[in-house]
Amino acid sequence: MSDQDVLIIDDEPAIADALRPVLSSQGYRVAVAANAAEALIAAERGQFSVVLLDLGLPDADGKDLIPKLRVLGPAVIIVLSARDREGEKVAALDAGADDYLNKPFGIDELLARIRVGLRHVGPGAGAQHEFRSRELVVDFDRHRVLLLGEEIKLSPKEFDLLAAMCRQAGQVVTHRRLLLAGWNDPATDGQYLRSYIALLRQKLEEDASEPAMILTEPGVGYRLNVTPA
Amino acid sequence: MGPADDHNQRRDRRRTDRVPVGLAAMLLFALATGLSYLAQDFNRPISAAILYLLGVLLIGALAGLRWGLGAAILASIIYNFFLSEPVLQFSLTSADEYIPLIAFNLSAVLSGALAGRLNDRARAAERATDRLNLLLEVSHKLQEAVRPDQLGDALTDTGGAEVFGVAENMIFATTAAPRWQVAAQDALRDGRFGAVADDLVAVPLRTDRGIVGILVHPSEAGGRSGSIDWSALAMLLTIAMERCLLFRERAEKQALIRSEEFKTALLSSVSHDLRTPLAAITAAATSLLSYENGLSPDDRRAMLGIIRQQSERLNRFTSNLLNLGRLQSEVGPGEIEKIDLADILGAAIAAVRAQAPDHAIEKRIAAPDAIIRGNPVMIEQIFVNVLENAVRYSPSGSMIRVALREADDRLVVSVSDEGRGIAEADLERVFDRFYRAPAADAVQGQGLGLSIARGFAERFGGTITAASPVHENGGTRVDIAFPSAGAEEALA
Repeated sequence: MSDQDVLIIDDEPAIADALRPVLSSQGYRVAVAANAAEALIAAERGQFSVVLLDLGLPDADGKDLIPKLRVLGPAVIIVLSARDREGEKVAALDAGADDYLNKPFGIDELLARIRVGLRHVGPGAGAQHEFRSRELVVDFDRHRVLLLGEEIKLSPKEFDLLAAMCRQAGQVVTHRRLLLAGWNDPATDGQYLRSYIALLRQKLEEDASEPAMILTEPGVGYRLNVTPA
Repeated sequence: MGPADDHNQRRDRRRTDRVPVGLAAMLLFALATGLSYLAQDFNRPISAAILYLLGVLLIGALAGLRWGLGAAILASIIYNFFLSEPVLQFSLTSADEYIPLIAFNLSAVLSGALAGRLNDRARAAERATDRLNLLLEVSHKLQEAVRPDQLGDALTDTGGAEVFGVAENMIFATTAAPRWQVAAQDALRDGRFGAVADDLVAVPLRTDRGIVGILVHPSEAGGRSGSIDWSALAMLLTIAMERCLLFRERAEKQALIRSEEFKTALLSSVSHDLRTPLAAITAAATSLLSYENGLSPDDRRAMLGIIRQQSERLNRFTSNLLNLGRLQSEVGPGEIEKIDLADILGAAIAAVRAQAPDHAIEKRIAAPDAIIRGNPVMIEQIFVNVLENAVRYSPSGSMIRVALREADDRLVVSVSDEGRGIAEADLERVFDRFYRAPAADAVQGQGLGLSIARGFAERFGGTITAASPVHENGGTRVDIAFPSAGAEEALA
């Protein structure tokens, strides 16, 4: 059992009502805030491990709430939004959200994202020296990559991009963050990023035309679809 | 009486003036002759000559150059023949007789000519003023025009000229006779202006953007149109037409912006109001599928309740979207019938009661024959939307009062709730599409219900207004009024 606190910030009572029973059955303690003001009061009073945030709040833009929540505690912030505008999600992620989920979503997917998020803030998550999953091992210090036990040669930029995705494995990484990781400049032409992702896929994917490891999140960024061991 | 009528009268008066002036001249002449004769009899030949000169001067002043000259010559002849010695002869005997006669003749001709010229100048000045006034009147009317088709109305005073707007090389905005239209269209097609038919002249109205219109006027300068400065009129029309076209373009742009705003609002509403219930349904359904055994029987029932409730909400939203489409289309005459308001109201209350069992709805009917003309389905939708709104914005367990009464040939349905009310600034805005009052947080809704209710009510001559607060803790009352069809019949 998880024994963690989850704060649902959504003006739709139906969403909170639908999520609460399963979250409770999985051992999470659930609190609900219907607007930004209630959310801030709740976040000041208690420590939440996970915040599920709807961007369309009645009294504020949900994305403006993210920096304030960040100051109040080390919660995993997952944006739940019905909005199609990719710009909103990117802005939320760049403002400090950890991941996002489009409405409507299945409960299993939400629970998986919560688990991924909690793993990243878990003990020892800060100072990683290597990333290790069933198929992929990345040594951040020595710049070595092993795919199914076999060493893969990567250029320095390819390695930087892969490392940035490994540090947030399972979560979306925005274009902006990848551009910063690879080129140290978020204004770099996105075409370079696409080229390097294509090169990485050729070296890591079984079928680069149908990637299963480096997934595209259209308009937002990329997601490394591997589960850390 | 408008300035145009005034103008016409003045013109008519002047034309009929000519005949009395001639008559007066002849009378004057006869009078002068008679007086001269009498003066002669009293042996005062100088007086006779002066009287004649006075007559000639007056005639010239009154009737213009031609009459003045004519009178002068006639006076010379008559003076010579009848009055100067020897009487009844043109013969002259001595130099003593020559000099006064020549002096008289010269004086007569000169005074006649001078007086006549003055008169002619005055007439020309008057005509110029008239032309200017006509142009001024036309320009005033042109300034009032905001649509190209209104420009033609301003031209009625000119007596048979037509103006055509030109857009994309086609003439438009006209009720002119076909012959005139053909003349304008031909001139535009061939790019040849000037005399276009036997008796018509086409003048292009040119601006930077090309030809914006065509003025067609009769080439015969007869009647009232005789005193019109067509080139000046064409210039005025060009300015007016350009302004009308700019107006139209601006209106089109605004309509486009409004329709874009509407589409954006609709899309964001669809995105939010379809996805949110879907999200709740999906979360509840996947919870049941994946974690059925981990959930208590109460939780399982709650999940099923969420699915049913959110499905109903989806259904309401799609109905509202369909109603929105209906709002924009016409209601056929076959769809309007006499309906009993109390009956329809009862059906709407029953439908809302089933959705909101926690609210008490009290009904008071104080109008025995509440008959209106309308479409029953749309009228029911009005009541349902207003009632649902009252349910949504008032606490569970509170009372909603519905009253039907008659007031001044109108049937008024009032729906009052015990919610917290609406701020005064929002009382009108709640009927705007997609508008939700700031206090509407945590309440599901799309801001469509009341706007549809108003649109439907107005279709059948009804009105819908909101009042708040209605008691000390707030509360909102929505009044829906329709013209009574019973009263209509009593009048007929």
